[in-house]
Amino acid sequence: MHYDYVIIGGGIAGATAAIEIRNRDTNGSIAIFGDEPHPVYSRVLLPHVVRGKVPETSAIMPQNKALASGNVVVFSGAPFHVASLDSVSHSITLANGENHTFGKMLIATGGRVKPFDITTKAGGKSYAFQTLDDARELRDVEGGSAVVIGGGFIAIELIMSFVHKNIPITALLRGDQFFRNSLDAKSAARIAEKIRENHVDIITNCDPQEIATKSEAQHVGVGVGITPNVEFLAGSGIDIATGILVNEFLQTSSPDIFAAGDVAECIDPFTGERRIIGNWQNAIFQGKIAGANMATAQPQKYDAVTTYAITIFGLPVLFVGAVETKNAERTTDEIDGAIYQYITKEEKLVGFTCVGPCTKRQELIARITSHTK
Amino acid sequence: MADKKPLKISKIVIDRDLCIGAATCVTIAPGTFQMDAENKAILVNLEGDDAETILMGAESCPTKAIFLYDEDGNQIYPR
Repeated sequence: MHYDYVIIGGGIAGATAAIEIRNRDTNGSIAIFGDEPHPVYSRVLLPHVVRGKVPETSAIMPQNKALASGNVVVFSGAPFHVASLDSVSHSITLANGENHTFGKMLIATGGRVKPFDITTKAGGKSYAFQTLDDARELRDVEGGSAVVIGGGFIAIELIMSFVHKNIPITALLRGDQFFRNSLDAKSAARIAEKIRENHVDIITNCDPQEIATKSEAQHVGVGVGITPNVEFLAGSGIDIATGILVNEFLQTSSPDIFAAGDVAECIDPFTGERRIIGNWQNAIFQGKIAGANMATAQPQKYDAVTTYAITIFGLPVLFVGAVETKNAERTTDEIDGAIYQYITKEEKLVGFTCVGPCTKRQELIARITSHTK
Repeated sequence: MADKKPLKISKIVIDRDLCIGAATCVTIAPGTFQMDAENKAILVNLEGDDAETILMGAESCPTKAIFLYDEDGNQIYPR
């Protein structure tokens, strides 16, 4: 079968792109191939599902209706996993053996949790926290004790979910603090203090795998990062580093093939450096831009400052812009009870973090956007 | 696409308990939504963007924290 547009990946970036394409091309055929056997859902909502705040059905996104009314064909589930891509002949082969050709393509395959399967001394099993299926498992966890491995957003969501269930927890960090790639020591200490206040033990500078394996815990929460899903591109002719390399128009090394969301290694418009931006806001943004660029001749540039926010036991924490960039100058300041970290490169603000109530958000974002690289 | 009745939004409610500060609404409809110091979305102007844009902002919210109502008080989104 031939489709004018093929989107690989059944998440929000791909769905947003498909809707954007349909807004601009009413007749072109569009197909989405996704691995998960679910309609488009919000991963961001999953902590609310695990904590019983909303029913699972709330995670199903309204974009599904727009895909249906826009005659976008959606194939989801393991048989429709795209096993290989040939960028020269514009063709894909699915796990079920089918072959399809396309005019333009978007790769929005996201990432998956790094494999970290651990069984504790007590026979406790490990839990990831990425997919709807992970959330269903975590929702049903009861009793016992837990260890949580990792120092980033997923680990903290796991910690908060276990605390919500009154399950005693030990947090295991390989490094000396939470968010070691993006936060200064003072900000990280404020977060650790808030987590400890909620009766969580924190062990830093340890070998988390060894401790977890020897522990008596019944549950192991694993939040050690995400690996972009790029394996199927081996031999495709598409340039890959950690993720898929894209230019400022989200185009890969093959001009008819675009990439967006957690799998795209884009050029940060403010630092000029390559980075993968794994958040919801970015997935929507890049999906919109990639979709528009696939369907029109006037390409739009990706120039967003994206944010990631989390409230850790009532403590607001905000990450804006290029918070993980290396070779940048980092300074901290405390204003009205909040710790700000300013990240500057060549004397220009490229990102900031704020732990505590952030009253300077708009002002600081405006400072970043005032000097696109 | 079949329903072309003009969209009219007369009330917007943001559930602060559901909002996690993804800020997608602010990027899509900045005239209507802003973030406060606690990283929660707040309404700044009911008519800050056109109704279609406000709906798009609400539909982009990953926690469905934005509720839209028409002039008769009927919930337009989510539904």
